[in-house]
Amino acid sequence: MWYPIAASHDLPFRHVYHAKLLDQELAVWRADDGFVNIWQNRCLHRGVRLSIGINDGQELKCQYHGWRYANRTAGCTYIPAHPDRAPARTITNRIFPCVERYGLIWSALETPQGEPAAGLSLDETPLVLRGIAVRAPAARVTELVGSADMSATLFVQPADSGSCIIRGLISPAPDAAKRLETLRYYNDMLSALRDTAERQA
Amino acid sequence: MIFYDYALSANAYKVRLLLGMLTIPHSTHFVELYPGRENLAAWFRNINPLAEVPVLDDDGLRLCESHAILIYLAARYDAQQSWYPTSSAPALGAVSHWLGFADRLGSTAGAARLHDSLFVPTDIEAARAGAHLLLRVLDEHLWFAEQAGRNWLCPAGHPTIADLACFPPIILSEEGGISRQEYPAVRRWCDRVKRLPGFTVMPGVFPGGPTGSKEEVLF
Repeated sequence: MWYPIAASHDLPFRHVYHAKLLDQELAVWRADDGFVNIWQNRCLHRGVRLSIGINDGQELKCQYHGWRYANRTAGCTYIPAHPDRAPARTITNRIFPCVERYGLIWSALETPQGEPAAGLSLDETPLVLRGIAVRAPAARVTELVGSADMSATLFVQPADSGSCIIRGLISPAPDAAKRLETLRYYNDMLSALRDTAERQA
Repeated sequence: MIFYDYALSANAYKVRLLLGMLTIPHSTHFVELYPGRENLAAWFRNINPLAEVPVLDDDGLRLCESHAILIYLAARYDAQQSWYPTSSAPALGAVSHWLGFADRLGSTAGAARLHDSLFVPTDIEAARAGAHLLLRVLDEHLWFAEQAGRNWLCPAGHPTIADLACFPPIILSEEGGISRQEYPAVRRWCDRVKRLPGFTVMPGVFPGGPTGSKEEVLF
């Protein structure tokens, strides 16, 4: 199934977002053409995290020895130690599936069937709540979220066995005048839910 | 102006950043804290009885605490008065709040780093737990700042010395075993600090990426 792993607002111009889904670390970055790349968070050279790399708009460059990987294909385009040779085509980072819907970035370890199921129609543009990281197992947090009395559509992203992130949408989005107040209200509600889950964990 | 510096000092890095961003001419005197313990030598204790860097000597005026040096340099050498907004009481209050927060970061995240890298004794688990509590508070603050269209710790539309004071213990946190993965708004703010004109790196800090010709867009 599809899980939300980031919000669209987590991918500002030339940033690299550091995500985790089901124990898999991910480097997530938007190229200047708008394409969102979700890759294994590991340079193929020395295993350094690509989430500390440089997003130059077209390629992601590793901070250690400058290996470069292309937008969309994740193929290695340049190895500074061999400036005259094109890298072999087999040097390609692992790519994870990606769909951007409702202001969230969705992924999975294996490509799921169909669309992310959010119970919303495609033309809706909901308000995206602040993701709340919780140091408690996703299963327990999912129970708490299910029993919470909230008019938000909530999702639990399992990060690893002991932590998860609650992500939420409000649809229809409130008026601009109520936007910050609404974000604050749900942030406080979900933070309280987080504190409950963490006390029990 | 003489700046007493040590390459691995997070507190000295705060001053180094502001000296670079305001392009203030100075000479640097390196003091080898580790392994040489040159800070314990009589000549340096004469300069700073606390035996710590950074120290600034500006034509005989001597200042020791990193935040005191930031305040002095900004108040004295920033013609725009934006780094330390001396004419606005609310802005000064906000800057002071985050300077205090930077101290807390230093005694948690900073202490964990010194424990792991320079073998300074500390309660490492308490230090890491304290740092995570602070980062959680900071992430929420910065996320709501972004939602209100602001980029920096204080409400002004420009960075202040508070940003420079908080940046070193945060960007070096992984050297103390403190991941920033759960704090995406903090990670974005780190990118913004790295893209300030005059930004310099130190060991353990990577440079920021190019912003390109496009205006940096937050949302």
